[in-house]
Amino acid sequence: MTSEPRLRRADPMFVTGLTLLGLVVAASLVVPLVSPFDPVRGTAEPLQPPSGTHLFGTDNLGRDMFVRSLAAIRLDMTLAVTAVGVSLLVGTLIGAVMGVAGRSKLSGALSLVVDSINAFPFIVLALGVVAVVGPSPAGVVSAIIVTGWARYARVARARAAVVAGAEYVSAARLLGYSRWRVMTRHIFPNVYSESFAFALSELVIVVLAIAALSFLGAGVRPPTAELGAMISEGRLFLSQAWWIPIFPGAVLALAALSIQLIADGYERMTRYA
Amino acid sequence: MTSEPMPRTAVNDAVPTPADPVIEVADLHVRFATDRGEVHAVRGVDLVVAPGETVGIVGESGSGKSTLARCIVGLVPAQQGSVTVDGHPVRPLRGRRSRQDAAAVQMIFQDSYTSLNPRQRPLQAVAEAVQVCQQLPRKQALVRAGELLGSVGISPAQSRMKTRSLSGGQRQRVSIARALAAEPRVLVADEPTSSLDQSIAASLLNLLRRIQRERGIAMVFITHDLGVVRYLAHRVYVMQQGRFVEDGPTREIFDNPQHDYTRTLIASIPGADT
Amino acid sequence: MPDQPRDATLLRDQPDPGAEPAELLAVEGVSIALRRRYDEVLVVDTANFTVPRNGALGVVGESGSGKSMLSRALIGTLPRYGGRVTRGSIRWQGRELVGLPEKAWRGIRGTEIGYVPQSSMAGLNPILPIGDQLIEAVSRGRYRATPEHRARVLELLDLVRIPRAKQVVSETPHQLSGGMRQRVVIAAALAQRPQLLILDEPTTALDVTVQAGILKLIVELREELGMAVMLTSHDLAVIETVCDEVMTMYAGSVIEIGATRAVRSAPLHPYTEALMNSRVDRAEPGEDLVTIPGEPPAAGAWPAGCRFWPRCPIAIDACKEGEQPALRSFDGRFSACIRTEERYP
Repeated sequence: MTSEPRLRRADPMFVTGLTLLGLVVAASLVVPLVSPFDPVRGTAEPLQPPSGTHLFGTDNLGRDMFVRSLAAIRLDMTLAVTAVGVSLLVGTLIGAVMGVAGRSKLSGALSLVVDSINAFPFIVLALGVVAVVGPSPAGVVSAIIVTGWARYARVARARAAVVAGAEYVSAARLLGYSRWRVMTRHIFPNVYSESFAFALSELVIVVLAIAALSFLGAGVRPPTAELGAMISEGRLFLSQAWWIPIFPGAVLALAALSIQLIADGYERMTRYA
Repeated sequence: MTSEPMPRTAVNDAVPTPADPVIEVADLHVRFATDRGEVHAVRGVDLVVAPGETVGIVGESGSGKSTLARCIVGLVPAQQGSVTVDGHPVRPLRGRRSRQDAAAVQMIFQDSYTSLNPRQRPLQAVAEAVQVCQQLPRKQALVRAGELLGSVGISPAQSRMKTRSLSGGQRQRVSIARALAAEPRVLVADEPTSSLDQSIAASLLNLLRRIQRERGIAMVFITHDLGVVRYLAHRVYVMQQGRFVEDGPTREIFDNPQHDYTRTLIASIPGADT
Repeated sequence: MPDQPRDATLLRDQPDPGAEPAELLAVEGVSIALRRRYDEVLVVDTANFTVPRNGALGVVGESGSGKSMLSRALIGTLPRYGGRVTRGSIRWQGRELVGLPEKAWRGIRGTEIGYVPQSSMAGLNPILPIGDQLIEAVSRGRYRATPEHRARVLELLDLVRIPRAKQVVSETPHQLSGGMRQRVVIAAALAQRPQLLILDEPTTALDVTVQAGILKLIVELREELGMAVMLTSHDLAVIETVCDEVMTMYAGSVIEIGATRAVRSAPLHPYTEALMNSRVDRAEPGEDLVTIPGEPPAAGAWPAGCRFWPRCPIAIDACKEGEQPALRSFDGRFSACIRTEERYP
């Protein structure tokens, strides 16, 4: 039975999320360049409530909160995407090898590592990594990667095991294709799409985790503009200058929401009836 | 080694066991471990096929016929026995398969959907096979692939479609084209029409017959469908619980079955008594 | 001489309002649509047929014919698959089934109309013992293991010819063979003594020797219990073994109905004819099999006119436009081909 070509109509959730995120990212790139205010050095009156000049008000050091928040989301997104990207790549490669290797010594050894990391409580391991690398953007990204890659490996391993048993892989080997060719052209391309969907859903968690680690002081440190750190600092001013912790929080929430919409929408789009 | 295609006789003419077979399977045993203990799936099987001949292996589920097929092709290792094509042993798959082995025997699988890489379009899939098996550069491989696909009834437009847009019958044709890229001496078809509609299955069977005539390929056709075997095969092997219980020219098997199991099988064809 | 071709909605004469309906099941002008992601697509178009008391109707169709959806409509499980009856009527013993709420269906499904799914594992709970599941079937879903029910379970297992019933009762589905499981599913379907048993490809997943046993069982049960049977299959030979009447479906339409013997020896509709001819057992060894060029159209991609015309060897211009032709009556047989009259005067 022939089927008609499948229309890939964009899912409304996906489009909404993408639009929202697009706006946030665009703002985060443009505003710090265009604005007269510096996100790191305060030049204005401190503790000003939101107004025409300072849309989000100013903080206790006279920094414009609007520019600072947007600069912060730019940093957070960059760090998150880097962390997820590296985890995805490393985890999927290792997981694919494990899945294909089946029940071999190599696979067994790697499985031990993967399962151990997955079993470890995130905070403990993350803080441990930060302790080694030092609290900084590099530190927090490393922490996310070290704690996260094993999850991607698990997803990839499961998928690779299924794919390796598929008949088209048997056919490829029967035709005399080299192991490399089978792995790169037949197994890997059919493994990573699932990992990618997983990565999208992980992105939200990672953005929040980076903010959380920085909030705890174990990540990006002030004066660098980072949302979690800003919320943490701003706690002290919650009663007298609510805009200092609230706006960074709102920006974070908005970004997280839009990424979640993208991830869910993507899942709906690629799910087949 | 000569390999003239068999003269085009009616399938049911009595054909003696060929003296110059292309593929010989001798005393094959396959065992593997499962959760329920060790399974002795194939228990000492002997089989020969001549060029241009189709041999049918009929059996029900649990007979071991699929395991046998996979073993002949090299996907599953045998604990005992041998598979020889043109005098050379066919080795089970380990690492990269030699060109000689790939050109010896190829397989057509039952599930048309999982036998094609969903990330590849038919033209790419077959061109890759041509590139590797015939050692042709990419451009020429694409041309040759187009020809192969055309010869199995896949149009240029269809060869560029995504796998999931093709029908079951079309996917099987693509699988056949890909297998032919290796220019095999023997084709093992494991229930290739079982999941297809009757009218589509019919045209696929015609295609297989034509390919065999044109290329002098020896075919091993695994099925549970006696009707198909009766139509397609020159000789039949009846398999039960890992062993062949009877074999012979098709007409003889159907007109004069000797073994009880064969008789039971033939009697259960619906409409056998109408 | 054939009757004047008439609209098949007059398949039966107007019923005498007082009398019991002669037909157990009367399907009239039923269309079924399936919900897809952004729209709805028609999968069955204007089906008309009947099943008499103690009748046996076989439904033959390839993929895309709509036969599975039709079966589901008859037991009210369409919503589960995103389908609904868009028009027409399904009358069960005079009672209208279209639009019946789920609550009312529970009184009919299983009790008056039994259903045997294609996969025996789909009809059974993999972790419960067979006996428990049959007691559920016997006590209409409320598990009550009274001695009467237990006895009835053994009776049912005997009815479907399962040996060692006392032992089987404590086994789980995995411990049984495919054929035994299918018998158990049939037993469960018969628990409430339904008057119609619908079997959806009951033997497709079974070995041929096992299949023979199941078909024989169905024939015997029909006789013993006086119930009607409706069996769908893609295998004409299976239908010929069990059914008196056969109905062919193509691309959502019913295109031929007739007595099995008659349809087999002299099909009226070119699709049925082509299907018969493409059977492997009709072929001459050494000759090519007769095939039907092309593929059946998918739902939503049906051509204008007769759905079969692109693959039909005798299509004429009149076939290519307008609506799918309705079934026309020819001496007790029905065909949806506009050329039947001229071909078989």
